[in-house]
Amino acid sequence: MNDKTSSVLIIDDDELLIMLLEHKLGQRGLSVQSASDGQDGLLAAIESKPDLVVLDVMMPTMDGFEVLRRMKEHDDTREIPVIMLSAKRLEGDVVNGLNLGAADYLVKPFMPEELLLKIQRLLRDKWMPA
Amino acid sequence: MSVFSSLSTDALPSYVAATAWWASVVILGTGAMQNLLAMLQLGLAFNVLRRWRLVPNAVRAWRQLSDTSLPISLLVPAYNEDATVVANVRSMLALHYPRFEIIVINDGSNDATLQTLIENYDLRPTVRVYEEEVPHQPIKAVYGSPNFPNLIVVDKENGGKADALNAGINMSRLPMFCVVDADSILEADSLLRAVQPFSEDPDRVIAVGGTIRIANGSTVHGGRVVSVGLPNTLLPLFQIVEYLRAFLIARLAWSEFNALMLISGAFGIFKRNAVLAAGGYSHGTVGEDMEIILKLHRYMRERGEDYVIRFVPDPVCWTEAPERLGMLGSQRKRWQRGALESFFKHIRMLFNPRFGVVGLIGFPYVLLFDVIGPPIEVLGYFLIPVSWYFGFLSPEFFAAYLALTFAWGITISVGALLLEEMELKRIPKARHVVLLGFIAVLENFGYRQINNLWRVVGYWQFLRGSKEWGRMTRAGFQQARTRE
Amino acid sequence: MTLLATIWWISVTLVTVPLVTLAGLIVRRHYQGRVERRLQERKKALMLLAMIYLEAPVDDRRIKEICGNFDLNVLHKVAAGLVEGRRRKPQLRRDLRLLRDIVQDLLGSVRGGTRERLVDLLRTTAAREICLADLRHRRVETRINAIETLALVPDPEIIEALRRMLDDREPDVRLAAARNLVSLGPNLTVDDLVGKLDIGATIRSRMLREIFRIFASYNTGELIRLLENDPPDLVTALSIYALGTAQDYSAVAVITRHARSASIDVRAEAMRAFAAIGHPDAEPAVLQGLRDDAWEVRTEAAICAGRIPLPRAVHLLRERLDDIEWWPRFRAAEALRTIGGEGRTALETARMGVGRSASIADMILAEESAAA
Repeated sequence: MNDKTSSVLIIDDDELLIMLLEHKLGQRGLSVQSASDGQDGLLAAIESKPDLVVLDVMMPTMDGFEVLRRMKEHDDTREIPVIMLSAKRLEGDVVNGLNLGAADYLVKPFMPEELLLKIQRLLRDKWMPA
Repeated sequence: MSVFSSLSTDALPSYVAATAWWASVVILGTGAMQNLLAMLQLGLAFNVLRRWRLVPNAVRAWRQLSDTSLPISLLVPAYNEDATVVANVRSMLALHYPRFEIIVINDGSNDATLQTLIENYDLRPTVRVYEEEVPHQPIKAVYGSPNFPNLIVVDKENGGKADALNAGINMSRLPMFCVVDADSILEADSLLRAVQPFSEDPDRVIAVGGTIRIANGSTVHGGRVVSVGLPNTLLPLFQIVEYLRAFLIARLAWSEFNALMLISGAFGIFKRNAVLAAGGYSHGTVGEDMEIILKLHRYMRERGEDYVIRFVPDPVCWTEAPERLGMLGSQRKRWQRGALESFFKHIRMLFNPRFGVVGLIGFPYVLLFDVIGPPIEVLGYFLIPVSWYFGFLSPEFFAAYLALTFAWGITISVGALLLEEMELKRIPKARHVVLLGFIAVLENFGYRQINNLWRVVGYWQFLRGSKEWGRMTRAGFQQARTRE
Repeated sequence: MTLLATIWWISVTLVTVPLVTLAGLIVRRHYQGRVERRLQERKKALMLLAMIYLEAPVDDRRIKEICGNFDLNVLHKVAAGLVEGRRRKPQLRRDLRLLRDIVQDLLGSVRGGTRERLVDLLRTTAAREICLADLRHRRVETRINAIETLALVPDPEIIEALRRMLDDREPDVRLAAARNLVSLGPNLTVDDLVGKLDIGATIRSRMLREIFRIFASYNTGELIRLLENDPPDLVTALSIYALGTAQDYSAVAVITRHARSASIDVRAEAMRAFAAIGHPDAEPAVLQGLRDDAWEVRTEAAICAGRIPLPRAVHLLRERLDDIEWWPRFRAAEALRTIGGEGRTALETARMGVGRSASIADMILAEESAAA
């Protein structure tokens, strides 16, 4: 692991969920930032270049799929791993998310512990490329 | 009646006096009937809203409603909308709904509507199997995008809104479709909420309308209303109260009886099969949104089908109201033409018991408020003062009549605001309620009258130019409509 | 003059009453605005409390760490009140309702250990008693909300209380009770469902499909027996749908019998169920469905033939390409494409011909090559 604190950006319009994740990630010593709609989230991702993004799908102003697509188009954000976290659980949605380049797609209701482990693994991979 | 003085009538021939007397009776009677009906609706609406169950937030709406919601095609007719179409499609793609597709129909725009869509959404020509079940102008091309699997753009020859919607209906493959204006701003969970009547009574409900609100003065960002505010000019403010009145009172009340006569063109959900069976939208109509509802009523009633057309008071859609007098005027004239056109096209339902509540309540209501109401009221503006001046009407009665008319109008305007404030509480700040309270009083002095004048002009246009409608198609789409 | 006086009085009343009421509402709103702000503050405290609770054991240092500059006194008071639970003060009741709403909203998004902890939080506070009392509340949404919460912390007494809600006079409440009871395990019999919900008369909601689906996930036997006794059409359709989702192969026989029902809905539902079960035993019924009088049934049968898939249906599907209705035509073409082999050959041949079948075959093949 790196000395630098890893930063995670959570883009979700559910205030409670953001609070829960901020709390849990904070405990693991990660620095957490959040945005409550798609456009703000995309801007935050471009500006602060977090080490990882947790991304909801159904959000105001821009849906998660489009945020993801634009992140992948943008040079500064292309490499940032994205975990989708969405109540959209139809096969087509999951496939769409992964096709667009999401590192993972978790369906709500999700297990926070699972998300944490996936985040940690992705961050580790980032610092120590295989 | 002692109220009509007979002082100076000797000076005039008796038939003039008799005519004036009868005219006054008709004018006063129509006014009284309109007011009584509006009061009745206010009561009904209050009763409905008291029982109405609001789903508190989007997260809950998803959890409680998404499992039972049927797939929907969003039909978005676009005519010269290149400035806004991309942002609006983006916000539609972000709607909270389990399964939906968006079909944008470019109705032969002469601007870059199609080009901006192609560029922004990485569209490519594709083939979509469809059947022309309802007629429309030829389709030039269909576009799809690998990145947006639920977005389809249809490019067709210009044919007007009804024509574009017919093309959209043919293209859609889902059991329901939702008609949305390209400049409508939808709430993220609007579909989820508005589709509820279909989930509750899937076999009978064939159409649902929702509340349209005015976005002027609110902050709109990225195709979404971020914070609700009030405009600082008078004209849109009047329209805010007017919309409250139209949607909260009239629509809600008649929806209880299944006698809803109009679902606003800015937002409505329909069962695809029902609309196809009724023959789709009619070409060359100014008021295709009212016409389709009358058509559905007629089709269902003629076949003795058990069906329901519902209205939900939940806010679903925002629209920009005209800020200038001229634009508002032409909008209202158009609405008036549309109402008359639909009315006369389906006039055989009027007072016809075969058509049940539609023939006996819905249609007479349109007759009273849209057909004979406006000209009679405008006639009253001139005749009542004149008959007072000539002494047919005693001054005391004239004064009392004026007081009653205004008082009644104020009751109904303020009543709508009361309903909103008691049951829905969607106006964010107390001082906004105060301001709207003033506006509700004020709209009865001037705004109401000028509206009626426009309607009479619309009437005139309707009577004169019924042949000109064919050429109306290029006028672009009308905005959200509201009627009393 | 009395008429005039009456008119004047009516006018004055007409203006005064609504305006005074509105003024009253505005005053109330102003006052409530402050209450609302306090409530938001409170809600935040409770949210933090819930978060902390997720990380047992709780100590002051930890609270300070998480809450930062939040007023710790408020938090302590809230926490003490919640745990004691005995003091039935209105404020406590309000806090518990708030806490319940928070937990419920969170439960919609999480599962696993975090979920268990949250449910614990509901159980250890007095929320249970409040919700039991709420079952008799006059507002429908309050009763439904109470049902939803109680279903998260089930025990025999709660199950009994929920069962009583099946007799509520509000259909939505009965539906909510039934859905939760069914989700909680085998608490209801088919008779309960059919009898208490008054299916078809007062309740036609799509929620019924959910309820039957969940029921079928652990008890297909009872539904099959129900179908053997020819229940009303809507109940038949629901049961067939549910058996389809459960993919119970043993239901194919009884569904086949209902595939000859007089009701179009039932016949169409039977075709959908065959498609879901995907068992070739359904073949004769599906072949018969392809020649049904109702286009809805022909459409579903075509989908079904493609999905199982039934290569022996190719001949009938080929016939359907000429169907006078669009949907059976379209679905038959799709099915032929999916079946492949002979089906594809049939499409290619049809494409060379003329009329409806040529046109649909051509379009479906063109659509495919455009998608590729």
